[in-house]
Parts: sequence; structure tokens; C-alpha cells
Amino acid sequence: MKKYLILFNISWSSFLQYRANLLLSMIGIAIFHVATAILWINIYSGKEMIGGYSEKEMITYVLVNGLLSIYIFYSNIRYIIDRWITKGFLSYWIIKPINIPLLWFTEDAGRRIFNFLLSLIPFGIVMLFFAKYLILPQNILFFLLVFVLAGIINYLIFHLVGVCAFWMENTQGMVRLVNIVITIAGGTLVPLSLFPGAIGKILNVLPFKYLFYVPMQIYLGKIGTIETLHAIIIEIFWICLLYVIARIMWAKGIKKYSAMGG
Amino acid sequence: MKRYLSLIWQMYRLRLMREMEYKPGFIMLLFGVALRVGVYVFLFWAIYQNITQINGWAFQDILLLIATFELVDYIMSFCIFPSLLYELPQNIYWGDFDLKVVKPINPLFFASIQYVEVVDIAKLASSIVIFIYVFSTYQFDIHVGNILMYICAIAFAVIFVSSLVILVSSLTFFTVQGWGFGEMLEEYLSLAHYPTTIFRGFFGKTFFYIIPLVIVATLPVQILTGKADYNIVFYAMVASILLLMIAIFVWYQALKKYKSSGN
Repeated sequence: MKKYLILFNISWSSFLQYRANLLLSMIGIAIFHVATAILWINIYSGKEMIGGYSEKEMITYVLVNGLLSIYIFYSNIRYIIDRWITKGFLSYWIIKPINIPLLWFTEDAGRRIFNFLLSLIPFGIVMLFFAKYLILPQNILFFLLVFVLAGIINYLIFHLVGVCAFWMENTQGMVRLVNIVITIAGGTLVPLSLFPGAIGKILNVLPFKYLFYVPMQIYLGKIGTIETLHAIIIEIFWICLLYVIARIMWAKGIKKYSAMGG
Repeated sequence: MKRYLSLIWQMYRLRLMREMEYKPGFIMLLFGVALRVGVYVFLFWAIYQNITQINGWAFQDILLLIATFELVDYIMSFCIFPSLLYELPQNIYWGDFDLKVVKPINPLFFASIQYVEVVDIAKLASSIVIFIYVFSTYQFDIHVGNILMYICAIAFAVIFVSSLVILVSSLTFFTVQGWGFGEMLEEYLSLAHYPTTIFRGFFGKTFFYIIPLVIVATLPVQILTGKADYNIVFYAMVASILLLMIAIFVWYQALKKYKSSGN
């Protein structure tokens, strides 16, 4: 375990090198979410509720979701795995006594936590300005648990996409497609309750809602304890399922790997 | 001029050949870029299922806004955007920019075309599909004059965004690693998907006077639909040209700082 902690530290140190650039990126993301919040304030002028959300709930949804997305969504692992396999960088590590998927996970965790902590600066300032609109978390412990699990699900999804590089020459297209599906079906843009009819029903059946929409429902106290526990069990189920698939794909892919790439 | 056009074509051709090496990946990328445009359509569609307008902007106006943004974004992302914001910092970091400055060609031009994004053609295609959908579904009272003015407004939007990109890329010569500015600018520009006239106070002033984002998509759509204030059109023209002159001046001043030392 010690070697993975060392790798985590190395990953952390390398991101520290880019702290100014990363901070600028986070400021850009925060500005985008501020503008989206202002857009919603305009949309709500004269309206009490939209899609089952009050104005305060919607502004909280937009800003807290923005902060969550930095931990859950802003990860480079999708590109790193592809590059390692297709460019043959994997060869260097494969001969070492190290679990490579765990190495990727450790590095990614370092990046996510670093980004999240850094983003607290711009988002903290933004939230001070929007303080009168913000709702505090209704069930902080459950929310934090669901939030961490959502990050693991997102990691495993992109891990699977990246590992496809054993069989494909380029996974960038697939990465983009999965990104977009998560953006829409995960509730990153707007709460899924805003989508009417069949589209709303389909989006509610898909597992992607556990990435953003469900954590935010728990944050806002819109679902009760039993539903929250149900959500946690489903998240754990998805983690187990994705993990098993990832292990099988890794075992099959590594046999196919040649130093020239996938 | 012919030499410059030929160079753009050669860069495009080479990039296309490279991307087409793995066709399934290329097709998925095209599809991904087109769907990315669809995300904003989907977002506003969901919002407009619950309301009828946002500060005078109906759903069809928003669709025109998205199509216009994607059109401007396509022209930009074709080469200038990825070349200056992401390739140039890499070149400066590794000291590779030496190869660009010694060529018998304008260094700013060469730096701007070094990375041609071929898959972004899907943005143009999506933009055209949205235009066709809007004009075939909704009634608009549009005159030839509006269309001509709209084309001019798009040209000024491109000048404006190019100037911002050139200015931000100039910072790379001072900071060596400047990709953070590029990402910040990209996030800022993506706000042009929203009708910028709905913003008041600090953001309203910023989008109008400080970094006039209104030029990118909101103003061209207002011109097309005949809702533009022509004083603002004049202001946009002057602001774009002035910013371009400043950007080019700053870029060449920054170029003098290039030491070829890499990282």
C-alpha cells in the first residue's frame, strides 16, 4: 500500500507544479456556473417553481453541482489510459511489481482531490456572493458518501472506455460520446425532473443519474432516508459490476497488448 | 496570399489523413462533436418545456443563437483556437517554436495554422441543420439586408474572438506554461451560448464593455431577427478592429521575449 501512497504523493506534487494553470481553469469553470446561475435567476422572474425546483433550490443545484463536477468529472484518466496503451508506455510499468489499474486509480484520485481543493477558492468566493440563494446540505453524511461513490463510478466508466484501447486504435471518439451521455443523463446541466414525458422516464431509468442528479437530490433533502439508502445500495452495486467488468477487460486486454500499442 | 491558402490546405489535408487512419474513431469523433452541439439544444429544450421566453428570447431565437455560436466556433476551432491556445504553449515549453520563427513566413500566421481540427466540421454541419430547422419551422420576417449584415457581424465576431485568442496566447511567451489562460478563455467564450443581453450589473457590464461577449453570437442573432440597436453594431465593429490591432501589437512585443530556452 505504501508504494501507492508514494505514487499519490508524486501525482500530487506534479499537479502542484501546474497550480496556477489549474486555478485559472477552475476560475473559468466557476465563471461559467455563475453565468448559468444568473440565467436561472432570469428564468425564475415571476415564477415560484420550475420542474419541482424553487429558485433557491435551482441556484444551489447549479453551483454545488459545478463544484461536484470538478471532483467527479474533471479527470484525465480517459486520455491517460488510451495514451499508455496506444503509445506503448505501458511496457515500462508492466515489468514492475505494481498493480497498474490501481496505479491509475491512485494518480487519478490525486488529481481529483487536488482539483477539488483548488476549486474551493473560486467556488467559495462565488458562493459568498450567492449566499442568499444557497441552501445548506440537508443530510451531509449521506451526501458525502454518495458524492465519493459517484466519483468512483465515473472513474470506472472512463477506465472501461480507456481500456478499450487494447482493441481500438483510438478511443477519443468514444470518450466524447460517453462524456456527452453523462452530461445529459447525469443531470449535470439541469435536474432530470425538467425533462418531460418519455425522455424524462428514460433518463430516470439509466444509471448515470447517480453521478450528479441523485447526490444533489440528497443534498437538497428532496429524497428521504429510505430512498437515500436505496441509492447508496444501487451505487455500490454499480461499482461492483463495473469493477468486475474492468477486471475481465484488463485480463483479456493485457494478453492482447504488444509494445507497439493495442 | 496564394502561398498562405495553399499552406492552410496542406495542413488540413495532412491532418485529415492522420485522423482518417482509424476510421471508426474518426466517425465517433464527428458524432461526438455534433452531439456536443446537441447538449445545448437539449438544455434549452428542457428549460422551454417549462417556460415560454427568457427576457424576450423565445426558443427559436435561442436555437439561432446556438447555431450562430457554433458557426463562429467552427471558424475559430478550425485552426486558430487549438493552434494558439494549446499547441503554442507546448512549442514554447519545449523550445520547438524556433522551427516556426526561422521559416520564411509570418510567425503569427504559421503559429495559428499548426494544428487544424478537422473533426470540427461536425459543428458546421450541426449549425446548418439548426438553421434549416428553425427557418422551416418558425416564421421570421428576414430581409436580404439583415442577412448581409449578419454575415458582416459573423466576420466581426471572428475578428473579436481571434483577437482575444492572440492576446491570451501572447501571455504564453511570459509565463512559458500558459494553457490555463486558454482553458479559462474557452469557458468564458462558451457563455456566448446564452443570450448575453439578459445579464445585468457586473456581468452585464463585463459582457458589454470590458470583454464584449455580446459580439460573438447575441448581436449577430439580433441583427438577423431585426432586433439590433445599430449603435451597438457600430460599437462592435470598432471594438473588434481596435482589439485586433492591440492583439497583433502585443503578440509581436511578446514574441521578442521568446528566448528559445524551452522549460
